[in-house]
Amino acid sequence: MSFAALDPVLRFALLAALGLATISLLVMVQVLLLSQLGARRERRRERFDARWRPLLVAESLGLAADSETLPALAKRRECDWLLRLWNQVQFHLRGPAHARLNTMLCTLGLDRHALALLSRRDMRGQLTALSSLRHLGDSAYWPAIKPLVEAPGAVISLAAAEALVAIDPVRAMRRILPMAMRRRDWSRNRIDLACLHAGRDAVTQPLVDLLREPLPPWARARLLELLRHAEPRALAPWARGILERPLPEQAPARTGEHADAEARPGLERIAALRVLAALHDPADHDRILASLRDPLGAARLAAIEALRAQVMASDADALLRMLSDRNWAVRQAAADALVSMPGLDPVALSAMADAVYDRYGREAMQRALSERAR
Amino acid sequence: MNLADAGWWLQVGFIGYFIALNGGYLGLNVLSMASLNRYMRERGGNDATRYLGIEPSVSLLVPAYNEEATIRSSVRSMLQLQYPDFELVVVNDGSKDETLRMLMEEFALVPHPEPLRRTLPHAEIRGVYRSLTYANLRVIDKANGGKADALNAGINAARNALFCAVDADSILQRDSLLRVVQPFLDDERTIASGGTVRIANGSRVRGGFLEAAGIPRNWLARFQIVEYLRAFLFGRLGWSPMNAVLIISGAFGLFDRARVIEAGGYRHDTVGEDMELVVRLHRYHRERGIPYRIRYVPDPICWTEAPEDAGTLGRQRSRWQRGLSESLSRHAAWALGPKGGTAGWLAWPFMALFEWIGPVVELAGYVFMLFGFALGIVSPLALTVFLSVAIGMGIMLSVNGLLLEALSFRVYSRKRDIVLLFCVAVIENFGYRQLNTLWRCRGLWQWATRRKQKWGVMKRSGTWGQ
Repeated sequence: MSFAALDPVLRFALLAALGLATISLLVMVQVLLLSQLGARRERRRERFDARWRPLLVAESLGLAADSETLPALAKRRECDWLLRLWNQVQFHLRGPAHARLNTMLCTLGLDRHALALLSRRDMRGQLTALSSLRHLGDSAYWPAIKPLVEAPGAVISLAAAEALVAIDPVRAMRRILPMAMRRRDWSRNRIDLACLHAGRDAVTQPLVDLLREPLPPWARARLLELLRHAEPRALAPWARGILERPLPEQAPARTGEHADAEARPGLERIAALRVLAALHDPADHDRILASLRDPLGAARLAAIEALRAQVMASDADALLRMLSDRNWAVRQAAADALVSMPGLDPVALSAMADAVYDRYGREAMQRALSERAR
Repeated sequence: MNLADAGWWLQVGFIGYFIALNGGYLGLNVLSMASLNRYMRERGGNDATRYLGIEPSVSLLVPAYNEEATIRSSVRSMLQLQYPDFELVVVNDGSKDETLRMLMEEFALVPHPEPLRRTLPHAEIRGVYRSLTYANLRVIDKANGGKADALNAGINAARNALFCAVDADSILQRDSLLRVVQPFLDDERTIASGGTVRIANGSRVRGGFLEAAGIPRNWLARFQIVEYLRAFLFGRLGWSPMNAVLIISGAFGLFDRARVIEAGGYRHDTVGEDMELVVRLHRYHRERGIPYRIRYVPDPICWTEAPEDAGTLGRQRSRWQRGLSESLSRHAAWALGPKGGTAGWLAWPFMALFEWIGPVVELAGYVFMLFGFALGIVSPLALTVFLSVAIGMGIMLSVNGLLLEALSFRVYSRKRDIVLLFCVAVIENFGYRQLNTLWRCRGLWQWATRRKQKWGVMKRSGTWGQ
């Protein structure tokens, strides 16, 4: 029976089946082609890297001959590859080696290539370029990078922010930190990273300024987390002011509806105690001791950690009391603080542990002693 | 309505179902391609993931039950993971073999008087040990209570804000932890992220790490390679941008410990504790209006040994189907309610329609169409259309899984391997898929009859050794 003589619906079904088979075969051919092309590109890239990596290393060590003898970069793709390889090598370098590779890149004219990549709409290229310009760290690139901090996507805008930090940390932080309080799509971890790279001097003043501004709760929570990057001395007046406020009568009820970090109560008191912990000022000792009565477990924990930074023999009683705290983490922290107290030998500590009336406190002490013995 | 009319409507129903099933997966496939493309661009040409200095500390939880054959090499390889700060907590769930003794000898374990916080319920703890050779290794020995119970004990013992649940018989790629943590660094709303599980059979494993990926000789293992590519590269990648991933494999997933505790930890009364937890996390956050993200990232890889005999594989698939049924049925009221969100309104119905009741409809479809054809109720035309849709589109979907692999990570890069995988993608549709449907129907039966759950027993090929 010929195809034309078949029932029209059956004909359609057969054609559909044939269509599916053809699509599957075409996809398979595509898979094969992509795999082969990918493998070939990878091999070329490996050859390219094998040729250029030793040159970059030699240049970074100051052992290279004249830059004019470097192999020519034939295609735009090779410029991209070299930028990526250069970024990889630069990531691990500091000091003169870093500076020598910067000079090499400019000699090859790849800084201009990086700037050209910035203006394209290719995200991968933009990220490569931002990474290169970050390593170059030249203020001449500031105007080209600045608009990208406002880019709608978090990936590009944060990469641009990091590049600005590398160029001029103080100026960058004045711009970036207020933005970080508006841009919820910026991850706090990435802002943390930018703060780490910028350093305390660049971060402190903008953070202190932001503390005075009215912020939405999520931004306030973010700001409080970032305070650890600032100079504690500059934050001390704020921290002391917070801890001077009377403590609430009782811990707020746990409401599942607001269980996310930004809505947790007592964040300011916890942040303030962390500032005092970093400050190590004996003048704050009583303030910290008073916070051991905070109704919020996380605040009592922060208080113990702050106390641990300046613990004195006279604090033993207070810490022993904390061993019977209702909060597990507080008991463990109190035990850790006790075993780290100066002037107490293992025998005295064991006797102290045995004398603890509360079973859970005794267990916490035994754990802390066992870990101290490691 | 007479018998012929009923038969006609059944034919239309089955064909329509298969078109919807494969069409749905095809749509997911398109979403996955877009998602993968974006993911690859965002990596910005950085092939290696670097330490940033902001990575949060992670507790790696390894529940173990009768794992004496592999536990030493698994733990040794996990201790060598590329990550700045992590602890390893092995939970021996009342093994009847020498798992604990192996660990004690290999890692110089000594008893450690550690009080565990009982935030989540679990069976009695018999002892806590720490290693004298690795400061970041602890072992919890507890009475048998099942995998979920062991994980709950591990969560209680964990000291870090994030925990990563890993199967004791799995091999993590050295940088997998560094990669799977990225969603947590990129978005503070992230509460869970899962990586890709791939089949290690046929690959070269040395020193607890996978050196070269290969294709196994065993056909059942080969079928599972294609299946896993399909399940992960477009099953989960497609849902991830919509915040609707409903499964993070129990073999490898990273979670925010506090959120998991708030949601109630792993449930003991299900065999699909991994999926149930993820669905419950969606529910918990949606119902309370708490912002959250559950992400799937394709490049952190966890290699696992796939069963190579039909008995073990069949039991595994039945167990998975049962777990899926338990997870979906338990949260149906939320999913179809006003606070379902994309996870409840899109992913849940999709899974319910095509994964939960799918095997029954598929089996009924095959039986009806074949017997109907033999009895003359079903026309050759209807049978041809049915087979084109059921098998032809099935092949296309499997091949598309290979396409995603070729577009992204190219773990199998040799031409011979790719051609072989293509053959596998075709052949699996003639027999293997139907067998799988039978196993899944058995799982549904076990779920319906509420059979008692226990640890899955895995017959090992013995090729990984110590």
